[in-house]
Amino acid sequence: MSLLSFPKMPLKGFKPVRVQLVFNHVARLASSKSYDPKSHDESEFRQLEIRPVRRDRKTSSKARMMMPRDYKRTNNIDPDKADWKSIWPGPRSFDPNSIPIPVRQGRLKPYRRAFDKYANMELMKIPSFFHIPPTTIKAQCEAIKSFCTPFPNQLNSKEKCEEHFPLTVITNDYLHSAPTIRDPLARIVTIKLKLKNIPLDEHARDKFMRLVRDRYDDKTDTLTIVTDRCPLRKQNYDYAQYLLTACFFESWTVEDWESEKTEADMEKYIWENNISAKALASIVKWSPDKLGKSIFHDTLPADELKPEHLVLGAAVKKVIEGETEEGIEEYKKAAMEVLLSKKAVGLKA
Amino acid sequence: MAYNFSQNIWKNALLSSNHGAWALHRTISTTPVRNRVSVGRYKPLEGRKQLLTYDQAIKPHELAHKKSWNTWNTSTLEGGRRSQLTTIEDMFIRRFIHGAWFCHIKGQQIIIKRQHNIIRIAFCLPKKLPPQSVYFITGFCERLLSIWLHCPVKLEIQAVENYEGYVKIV
Amino acid sequence: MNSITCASKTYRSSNLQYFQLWWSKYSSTAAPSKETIKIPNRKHRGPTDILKALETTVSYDFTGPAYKFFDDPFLAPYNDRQARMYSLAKSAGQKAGTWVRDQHPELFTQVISDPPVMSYMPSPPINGDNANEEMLLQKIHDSKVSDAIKVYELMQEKKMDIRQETQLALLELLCFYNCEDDTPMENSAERYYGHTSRQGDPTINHWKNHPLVDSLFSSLKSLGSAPYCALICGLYMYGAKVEGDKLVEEAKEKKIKLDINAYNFIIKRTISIYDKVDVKWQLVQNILKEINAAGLKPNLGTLCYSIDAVSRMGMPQRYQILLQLVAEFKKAGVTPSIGVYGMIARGLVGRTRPDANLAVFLPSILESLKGKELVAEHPSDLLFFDWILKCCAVMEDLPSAINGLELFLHSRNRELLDGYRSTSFFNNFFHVLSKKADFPTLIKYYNLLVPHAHTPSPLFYQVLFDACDVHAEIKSFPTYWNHYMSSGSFNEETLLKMLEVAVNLTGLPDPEAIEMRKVVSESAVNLFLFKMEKEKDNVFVSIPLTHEMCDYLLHLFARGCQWRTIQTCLKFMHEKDFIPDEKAVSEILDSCYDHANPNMAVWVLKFCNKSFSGMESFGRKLELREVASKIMKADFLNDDLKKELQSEFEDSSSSSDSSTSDSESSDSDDFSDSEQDISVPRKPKPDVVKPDIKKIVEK
Repeated sequence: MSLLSFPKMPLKGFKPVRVQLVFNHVARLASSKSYDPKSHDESEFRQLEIRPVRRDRKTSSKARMMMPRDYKRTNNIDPDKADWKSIWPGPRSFDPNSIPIPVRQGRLKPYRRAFDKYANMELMKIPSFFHIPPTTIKAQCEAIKSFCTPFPNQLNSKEKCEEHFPLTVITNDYLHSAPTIRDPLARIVTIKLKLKNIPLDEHARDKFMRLVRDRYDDKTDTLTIVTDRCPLRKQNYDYAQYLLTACFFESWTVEDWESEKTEADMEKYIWENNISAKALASIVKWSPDKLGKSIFHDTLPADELKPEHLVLGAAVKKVIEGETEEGIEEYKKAAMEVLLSKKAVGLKA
Repeated sequence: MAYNFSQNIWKNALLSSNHGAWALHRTISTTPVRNRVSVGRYKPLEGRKQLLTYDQAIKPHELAHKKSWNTWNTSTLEGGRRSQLTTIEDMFIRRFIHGAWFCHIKGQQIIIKRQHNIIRIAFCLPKKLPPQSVYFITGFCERLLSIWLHCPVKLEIQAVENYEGYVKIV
Repeated sequence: MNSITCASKTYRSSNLQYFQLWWSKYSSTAAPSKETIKIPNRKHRGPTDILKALETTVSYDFTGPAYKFFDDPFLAPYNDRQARMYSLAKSAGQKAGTWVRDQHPELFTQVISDPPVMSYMPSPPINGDNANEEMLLQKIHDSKVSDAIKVYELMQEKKMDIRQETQLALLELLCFYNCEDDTPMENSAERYYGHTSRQGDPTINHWKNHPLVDSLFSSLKSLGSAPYCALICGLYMYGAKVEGDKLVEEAKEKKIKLDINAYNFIIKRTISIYDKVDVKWQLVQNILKEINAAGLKPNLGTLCYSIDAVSRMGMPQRYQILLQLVAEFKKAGVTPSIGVYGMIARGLVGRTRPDANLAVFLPSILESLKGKELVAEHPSDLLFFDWILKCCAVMEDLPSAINGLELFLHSRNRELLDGYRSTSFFNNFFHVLSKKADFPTLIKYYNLLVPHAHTPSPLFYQVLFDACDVHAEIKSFPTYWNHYMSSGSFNEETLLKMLEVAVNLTGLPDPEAIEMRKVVSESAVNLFLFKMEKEKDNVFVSIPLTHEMCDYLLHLFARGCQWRTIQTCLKFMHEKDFIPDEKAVSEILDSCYDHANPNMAVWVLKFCNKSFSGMESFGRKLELREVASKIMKADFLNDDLKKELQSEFEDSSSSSDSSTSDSESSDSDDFSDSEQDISVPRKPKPDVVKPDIKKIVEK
């Protein structure tokens, strides 16, 4: 920046001057009224201004006022008729000139009025929901209704849904504020199924339980399979389907070696298979001619079992699983019922 | 780095001959923490006072009580991704905008909001530039930033008077 | 900000069949008989269909500028010219950004988006190593003409062989774009405001005789029809009639079958034949017969070009011929697009006087299209609205014009016009409005469209101000003043009319009018100071302040109590040798009296006495003196001022006999130096009866 400031005199310096400027100068000389000789005195020296004084710019600002820059959308908005969804169609930062309500935010001292909406950056920071007021949501829902299909009206309750569609598949989609739409967590697939919906007999159920282990929740009777070992969701879903199918069919197959299962391999007490049931059979079916022979018979067939026998079985099982006073008492009672009741004695007689 | 390291080894080798244990102690040195926090705290400038916007007038420890953040995105939430990249990009955006608008931006405060893949940059601009220049620089910034960041970028400018927006004098 | 949206999808799988199979296989009890549930099929939708549906909820908003501009008083455009400038400035900025990227592609190599957004990445450079046929096809597909030429030339240098289909595609591309690049799609502002038609005037030859086209054509001649058709289309499209005719002759000699597009352009060529109307019509008929004989199926282009050709012929029975043509094409399975209707309307208007049938045709067409979403199928469709409104303007048919506007504003129909054509569309609309509409209708459509949709011409504003005057529209007059001031196109008569109406309206004995005085006077001050500055700077002023305007402005200043500006204005008038109107001066004195500002009154009297004494109106000066003596009689002035005034008038009366122009300059210097502030009244208003100045002046 040069410190020398030239007086306004286009012809004075030996600069190339535009024709227009020359014309102006001539015009100024010709009209003595508008030409003010004081400021452009020929004899005046050029001044050296140590601190250059700024020229008064007031006039130019007034000249700009010819075109009044005072439009504000808020002045044109009629709150009753305004179509807000076309005024504010998408997410946008707060704009004081188009929001026709007085808003204030931010104060420095208590008991002072908060700052108003103009030039208020705090209001611009806040994520706003001006683009989705209830009316807009309603209109947009109407607009995308044509892409929807009706929900089948037979499925009017939750039970019916579960009955017809027993399998539940859960996947997650993630949307970050980033240029990428990928998220590794999106590959995980969860399958939920209530076990009552698949046919399992006792053996199959037992084997199924062994296969799925802690994936089964017996409180809600739900099997949950989560797969995340493949890179794509599609692959994980297929894998989960495969797992379910494989477990099911595996549980129904009976291998040869399963018949070799002995009492010692049993994981829980089953009265029918045990020595107590055999003893009962020998007692019930005892006859004098069998004296001296082994009392251990085969267990009673299911149709010969009487209710009191079953009660005895339950009592025995209870005692074996955990011995308590009541259990013993119950066992005693059941045994008395079977062996010494009048019916039993009478039968024998 | 490598030079220092080799020098240390050389020193250690010299010292360990006589005072091995002492030399080991010397390798770890700590200095007392100096709790001089000066970021975001404004003081009068040398010889003149300073005008502060609301954002500058409020101290950093009052953030989230009296003012909110200048950057809004999901990267710092739980499970948010690419937080490092986002931060670096934000720094880049701030510097780029600051330079492209000839340091005109009020209070040097640039708000960056990311929503899905859209980046919205909001700031206040004094009414110094003529509107057509404002539009030219807007187009330039939007295009160049979106080429770099691979996102649609939108500028949201509020034109304010020169005196507007300042709330405090220190 | 939406946090990470974790949209959890839970759905129930419908493998019912699967389970039933299991059930029957493994369960002893049969599966319970289940009612069959029919799940409706998913409706097919494209990737952007939902967004498009959401877009339909957004209508045209007139309360502010378009979305591409900032919604800010400082940054919003106030008229069409500014809107054009701002949007082109923005697009220029975007172009600059793209240019930076293309100059330094090595700086923009990172890919952080997934899936990658190819449009943000620089296109790979074309060089001899990577030029191949696939790339050429891609460039042709993207319609990048100069790139395609470059690739082709590189491939020829390397003597790679190119399939004939690819060569043909390149020839077609070159013919369609006349061997030059089109404005890219992303540059929407330039496309909107740019040159309307790429093809330009059909009577002028724009054809760029690129050597590549000739070489391609000669190598492809063996293919027969296709290269001939492409070249004929290109030649005729860009007005190379002689070459085109030669080629058609050649094709006919060689008995090459042309396709329908070539025939379309042959029909188009008849427009620029200078011959009698009957001959031309016969020619068009012959071509159509030829098409029929060749067994070709006519398409929309055939219809459009034949209608275009026929509508340009000023035949008396054109209406019947045009309708017959449309009917015959309908029979052949071609539904007319909107452009056809537009061309028929244009044909009916004619150059000299409109056809009588237009009065029937125009309303019926607009009635049938009412509330429809129009789609552009042919280039001529983009001219539909323009032509329809032109016809309305010629016919001065207001209901049709309003119907046309409503159709234009309906859904996305406004996309059918570009920048220039929409300006002419609205101009025609406002022309009809100013000619035919009653005041409420005028105001209704004006308030709807101005200033954000359109900036009317000064002629319209003249009509508007006139209507305001007649209907005493006081309330919104300042708004219209502001609109006119910001419209950026001025006209001396309109400006004068505006000031006149302002004077008339502020003079009304109405509380609203009195309230408005302040507002209008401030606007007037702005206008005056603006003009003054312009004159001071010796900038060429297209519409300088005239004598009449100054008089009106003085009226307005007096009513709004703009004392300082009155001084400036009087001085300005003195400089320009304008003599202020007597009414204006008396208005000022009146106002001084009302607002108890005796100093101002004295100043005005003195100034007028001194400054305007040298002029020819001696009687005027006497009058002023009379007024002064009247004012002095009342208690309005205090003693000092009275004395001052007396001495002033005595001086001037003594010197008035000999007063010449030399005293004038010294006077003016005196006044310009005295910068005392008299804009603030010093004395409270005395309770005296107001002297009847008006009567005195009227004498």
